[in-house]
Amino acid sequence: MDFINIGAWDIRITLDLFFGGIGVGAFLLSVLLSLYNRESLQSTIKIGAYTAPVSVGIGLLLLVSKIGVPAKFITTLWNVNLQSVMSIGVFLQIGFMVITIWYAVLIWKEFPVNNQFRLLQTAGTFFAFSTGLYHGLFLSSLGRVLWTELTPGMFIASSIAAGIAFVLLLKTLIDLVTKDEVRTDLIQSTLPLGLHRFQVMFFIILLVQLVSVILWQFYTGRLELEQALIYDYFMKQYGTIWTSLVLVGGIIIPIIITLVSLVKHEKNMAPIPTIIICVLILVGSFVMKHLLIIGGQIALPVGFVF
Amino acid sequence: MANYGMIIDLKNCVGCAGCDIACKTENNLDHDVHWSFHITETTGVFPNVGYRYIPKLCNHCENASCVKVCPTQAMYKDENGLTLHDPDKCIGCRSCELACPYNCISFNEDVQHQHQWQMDTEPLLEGITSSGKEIAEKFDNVPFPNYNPDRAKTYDGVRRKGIVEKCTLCDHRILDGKDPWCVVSCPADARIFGDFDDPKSEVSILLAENSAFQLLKSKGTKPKVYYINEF
Repeated sequence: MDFINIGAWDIRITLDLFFGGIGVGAFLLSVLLSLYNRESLQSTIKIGAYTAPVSVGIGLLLLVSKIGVPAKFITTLWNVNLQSVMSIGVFLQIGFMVITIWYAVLIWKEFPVNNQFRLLQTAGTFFAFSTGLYHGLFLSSLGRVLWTELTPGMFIASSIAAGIAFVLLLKTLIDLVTKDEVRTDLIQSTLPLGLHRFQVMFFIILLVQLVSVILWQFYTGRLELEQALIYDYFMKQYGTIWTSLVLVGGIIIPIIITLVSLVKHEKNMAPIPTIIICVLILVGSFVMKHLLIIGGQIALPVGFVF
Repeated sequence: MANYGMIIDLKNCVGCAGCDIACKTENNLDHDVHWSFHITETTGVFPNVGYRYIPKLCNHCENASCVKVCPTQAMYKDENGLTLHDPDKCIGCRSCELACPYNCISFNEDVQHQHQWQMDTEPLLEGITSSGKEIAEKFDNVPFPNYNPDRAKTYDGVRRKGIVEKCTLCDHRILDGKDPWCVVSCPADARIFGDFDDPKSEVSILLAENSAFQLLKSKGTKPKVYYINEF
């Protein structure tokens, strides 16, 4: 059977979703950590705050470069279609971008503690979640076989994990280079559920991602003939990469490493396991998004139109 | 106000693809763009084999997914129920192309109707034919020799680079009270165009008298191209 690849979108869309996702995760991490013990966590909070606008900006630039007439991207601000998820998403992404820049500038200049700053963090959190959800909702709104209702869950979990992983990786590498004590435990803070520890953060988010990916795999191939055929084809083409890099490498191994660390009651995760986990999560997130972008554009042969 | 659509009578259709060619000439389509096309399907094992030839075009769906997903309202429904495209608003995001379950939307990667042969200075047969460049220079301000200027009444005569394009059901001809060119040029009268809201129209009568099917009805797009008399 000769499947069709519509091929409308290339790796630039993946990179937009990947970098946008990192921005979402980095910003949320920065806000979360700033709520508690901001003095001792300042460097991590700052890395998160600076990463967010740069990452989202890179993503947006790549997205704009992919559309047929990049100069007309600005017209999406006034030619609005409320039925279109993308149309609403443009405002969410731009809103998020503005807030992350504002947030980064405030943290860079003075790191204030006032109601205005808290309001900015609240608005930013809303826009971060909305943008993270938008990435998946945008795909599922197009009604393609592999872009199902479960895609938003997979995307937002992957984005948050990738954002945290990127910030933590950067922090660990900077500490290693500057020969500072590498600290990933954040033990002086007191976030509920132990969220002050990266192991716990990763464990919870990766568990959500694992459940959403397994649900997606379970349901996508079983709903109707068209989905089953395309899903089978997708798995035949990319199943090995999907299982090894997304499922095992990007989710299960990091879950095991964090779980072992939690069971041992480790306060600090050593730099090497930290780096390994972060790289695996980042690779897994990128590969998952890229394969879904490719897979979503697979269509049945033209004869299957009845 | 009408609700235009089409019926394709598969008993009459001989599979000549004349509609595909007619569409290309009427709408100035470049070689890799197809607003009207067809699919074929061979089924079974010899000697019990079947063959299907299904002409396809934009279904001008009532519940058009391309209209829903377009972020700039470049895809829209007009007052006559046609699904049309505004090139001025289109940014070329290609969401519509992915949302259309019928693969009826094309994207223009390059400038249309600009080909290498138009730059060739060598004639095909020395002393007998003109070179491509010489022919191109004689186009007299049109993009290519058989350009149809009527197309530009309601849509770009030749569509632009970086945006999508699709069948308009020859809205420029409908404007003049004429049928779409694929309907007129069909040698077997297999295509019937009309207003589904008019109970006396030929399409309404045919739809009432025949068992009809639509493509991918399960997608919920309510396509307005019906097929009758499949055998």
